Amino acid sequence: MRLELDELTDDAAERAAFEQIAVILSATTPEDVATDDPPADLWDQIVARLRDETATADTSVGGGAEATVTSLESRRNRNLSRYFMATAAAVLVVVAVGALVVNRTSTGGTELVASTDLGLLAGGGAGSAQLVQRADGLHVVVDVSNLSPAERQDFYELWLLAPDGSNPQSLKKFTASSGQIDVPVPAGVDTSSFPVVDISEEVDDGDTSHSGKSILRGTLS
Amino acid sequence: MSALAFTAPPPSRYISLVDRARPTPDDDVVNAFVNGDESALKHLYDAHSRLVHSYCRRVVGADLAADVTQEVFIAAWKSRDRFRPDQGTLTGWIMGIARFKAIDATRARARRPQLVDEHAPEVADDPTDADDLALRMLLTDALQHLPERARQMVELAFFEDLTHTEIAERTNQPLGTVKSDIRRGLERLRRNLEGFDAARA
Repeated sequence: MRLELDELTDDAAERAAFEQIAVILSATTPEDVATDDPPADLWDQIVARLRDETATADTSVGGGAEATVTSLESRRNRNLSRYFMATAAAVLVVVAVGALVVNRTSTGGTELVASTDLGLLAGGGAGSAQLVQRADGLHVVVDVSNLSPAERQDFYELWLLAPDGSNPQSLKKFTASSGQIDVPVPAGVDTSSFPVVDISEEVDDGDTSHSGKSILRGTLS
Repeated sequence: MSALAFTAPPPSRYISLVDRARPTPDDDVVNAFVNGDESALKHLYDAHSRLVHSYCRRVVGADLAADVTQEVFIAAWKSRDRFRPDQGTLTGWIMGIARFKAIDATRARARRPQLVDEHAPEVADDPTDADDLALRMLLTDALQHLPERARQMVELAFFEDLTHTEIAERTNQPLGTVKSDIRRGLERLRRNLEGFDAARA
């Protein structure tokens, strides 16, 4: 850590703040990167709760029959309530429409971002990969058939790699030799920096890094 | 400061992996939020729910993280009148609220009799730990949302131990640009710390 703060500021308070920033950042670890999205329905729960609370507030205002002056707060609450009811209605419409679209095309709410066929590097099998954008973020969807390892193997593992094949980012371990794997892209992984889809054979030896034995590989584009 | 020898972590390896797609709430959204425009809450939720939830999970454990996250956004909405855009970023302020709610939840959990605690919080229920973690996650996040060139320069200075002159050579930018980018970047990070502190007031 090298900080030439003297060159950046003469202000003592600013300098102290910069030093604090340096101390905090120097203690960060990879785990401090936020990667955990909340459950998909959490926003709906928040909407429902605010709606309930404001509905209760409205009832209490309406209950006072002689109350002719509406407070700013209750008016705001009522607006809020209306907003959230409208939002809830809109969500229902979207869900209904979405369901129709899904039924018809089975791609509703999903946008294909990139795809690739997976070429065979070792062992046997075939596959293809898609990068799709859904409401909850990017997913990698891989279809494989008749995978077979080149050597002894306990499971397969799906990875994203840098363009030069380095820095493997694990997405999923799996054992089925045919089927579909559908996994969200981890928040810490930028698919533009990790466009290579790779399937490796892995031995359950406690080493979680890439075995170096890739079976299928392709570059999303 | 330059005399302090920090053990530099290798963050450029992971920090550059962070999804930078998150929209940073712009001034319009912040103002709309403060003025009670409910649609702004959805924007804020979209922009911050991952950060808040990730933080809550680490303080209170996976089983309570969603509940506490919900509390954070409800509290942010209800206390929006108290947010002052001139006192720091909304992201910092929301993380300040998250810190309170997470510590509250940890204390409430400690008071409850536990059966088999299979989901013990990963962080000890020490407010100092919860504080430090919030600041680390806040600044890690804020760093990712700096303009690309400023982020790169701050990372080179902090994590790769380069001098301003070396950064200028590495990035092919004038020295003055390096200094002003780093200074502006640090000022932006500072505004996040100020927002965090403002939530205590």
